Amino acid sequence: MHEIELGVLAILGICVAGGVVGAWLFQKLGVPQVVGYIVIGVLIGDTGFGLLHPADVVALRPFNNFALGLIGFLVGGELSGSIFKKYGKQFTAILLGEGLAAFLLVGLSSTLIVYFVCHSWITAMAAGIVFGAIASATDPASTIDVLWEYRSAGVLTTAIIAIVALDDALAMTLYGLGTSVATILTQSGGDSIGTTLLHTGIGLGGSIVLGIAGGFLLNAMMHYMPQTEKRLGISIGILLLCIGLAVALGMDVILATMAVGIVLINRAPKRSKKLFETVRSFSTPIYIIFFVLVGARLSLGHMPVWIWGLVAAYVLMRSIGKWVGAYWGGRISKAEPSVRNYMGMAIFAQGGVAVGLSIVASQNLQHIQVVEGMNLGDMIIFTVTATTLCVQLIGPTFAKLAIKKAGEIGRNVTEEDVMAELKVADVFNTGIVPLQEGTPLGTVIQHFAEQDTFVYPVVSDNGTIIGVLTFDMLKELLIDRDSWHWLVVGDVMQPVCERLLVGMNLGEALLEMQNMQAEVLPVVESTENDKLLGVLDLREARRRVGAELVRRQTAAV
Amino acid sequence: MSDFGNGGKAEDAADSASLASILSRECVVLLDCESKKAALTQLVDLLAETPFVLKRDELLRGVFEREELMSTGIGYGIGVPHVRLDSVKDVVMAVGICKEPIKDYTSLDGKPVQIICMLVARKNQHSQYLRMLSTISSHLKSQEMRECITGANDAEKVFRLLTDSQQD
Repeated sequence: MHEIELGVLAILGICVAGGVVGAWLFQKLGVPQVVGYIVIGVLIGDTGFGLLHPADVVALRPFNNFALGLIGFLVGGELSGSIFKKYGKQFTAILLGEGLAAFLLVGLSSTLIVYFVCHSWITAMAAGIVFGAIASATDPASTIDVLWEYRSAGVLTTAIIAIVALDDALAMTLYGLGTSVATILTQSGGDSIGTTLLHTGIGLGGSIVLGIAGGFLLNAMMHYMPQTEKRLGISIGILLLCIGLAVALGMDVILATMAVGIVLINRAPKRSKKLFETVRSFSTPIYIIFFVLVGARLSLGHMPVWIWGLVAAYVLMRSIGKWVGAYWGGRISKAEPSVRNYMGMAIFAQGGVAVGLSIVASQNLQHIQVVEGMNLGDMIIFTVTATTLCVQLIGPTFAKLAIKKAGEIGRNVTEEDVMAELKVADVFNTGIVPLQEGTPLGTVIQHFAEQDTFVYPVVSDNGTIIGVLTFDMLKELLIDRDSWHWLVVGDVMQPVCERLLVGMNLGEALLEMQNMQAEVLPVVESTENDKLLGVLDLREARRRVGAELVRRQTAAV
Repeated sequence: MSDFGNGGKAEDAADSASLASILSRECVVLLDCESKKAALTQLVDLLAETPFVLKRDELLRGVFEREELMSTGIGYGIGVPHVRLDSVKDVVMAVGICKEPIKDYTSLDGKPVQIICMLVARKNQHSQYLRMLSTISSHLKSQEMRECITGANDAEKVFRLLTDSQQD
């Protein structure tokens, strides 16, 4: 029997559908959805059922760059100049604190462990420096995904976005320095520290220049394209161009597209806001594929037992370093308590940059033997892969915990979010006593005069809802007082054919009312049970949604 | 359709709340009934002959169900039975003048009813329906008008009184 080769489209289909199912399952357990994507990736990848071959994952690498580029762009969109002006000092202190502390703690612990295995200080120190540099990186993708998933907003959220965005630059600088030192230590005849630093600087500076150019170009193009679809098209086009050039020139993809986003948000804040929203909604399936592929790429078979000790030390020391470093950075820069206390635990995630750096390091250091059958390059790849899996599983959960502790969850909600979460039962009016259809109009007008209610449901003798009476409906008769004596509610009410079910989603209910141009609809228990429970007034419901939105946005201020 | 002379059925005409737009000569009769039930049934039959009423029995049932909620005898010898139904295509009216006042109508002022204006409309014709009810009642407020109507000895004159006076 021929082995079935899955095409690229089938692979993407598996990634998206499987990722969504995984995310749904994990969300049910209260775990951020990104963990679900990664676990599904592990299950369908080489470590799991092998549905995705490593070759497929490699073939889809450009897709990963696209996803990282989009993340960079959206992160850049969060970084307006005013934020840097206000928090610039604070961000620099926290960034240096968490990055350097993770670098030092991971570097020292892994040096000791590797020395214990290979008994060579030079090899151990080379490994320690590379591990330390990689440990300073934070994965912006999964961290940002958690912030978006939980509609987080506030000082901590702003700080997290800035730190994970800038972390790449720090990690690459430390890595550049680290690999140079490691190469020199192992006497492989590599570049000097100065040359490596120069290369790193050119790489980082080039990424920023490329991104700034892309940002100005996009801003200029948007000027001539007011339509949302065209703006989405041109922005994706320019982002792909930036990503492609960054990859071809060996620059940092995230930094380049982040610069595009920063230019745009600062040059045209109002015009670009809608664009960022559109790109964000467009990017969801791309993120899913990206994270599933991250999981699928993690190959954990055939690892020696001692590596797991190194993995454990790396994860533990990196977490402590991030936490303690961020705390001290925050303390020195007099950051708000929520930033000081919870920033560290929000930036545990480690992703694409770390894996990418480990691959580059493995190529530079594969000639150095650590133990029989394993070179330094392989050891770095194994360790970083395993630690990435560990921190990707715990990182999003800790990020969620951090924003929860800081009280920032749900503060970035929109009206649609509130309506999607509410049910008709949450906002409908139950306090109104329904009118009988035979009630004389004079009595009803007295009701309207004495009470604040402007909407009454009308029921028949057996309690079944038959109509709705609003004050507006009486305007034809207001000047004809005589008719109030001989007309009854049944004569003037609006008969209703439509009813809302009490368990119905509020967003759907309001949309239905809007489509029917109904200001008010009765609410009943179920389609079988037509007994009136109350009424849903469109204006009142919108007012309640607005109030709930304000309450959620300001709850934790 | 032309038999009923109801060319003013257009929405804008009805909106102007003129009785001429909803009343045709054929829908005005002199009644010789002694009971409310017989009078209302006769007017329903009259309306059922117009193209605007699709189900005669449903109209009859609707009219009497409305009377059960509260009598439509509004006083001064006037009855305004009315109902909204899905089986009615448009607002339409029938007028019956009773030679002998109907004593069992149960009016607000307890007086027997001599002028009966039956109004029917489609269920969603809320505004037009209420405007017409208001127009009928205000039109018949004048004692002079009521006396002219009850004193008329033929339906043609009643029709003219109701429609011409409004146009003036």
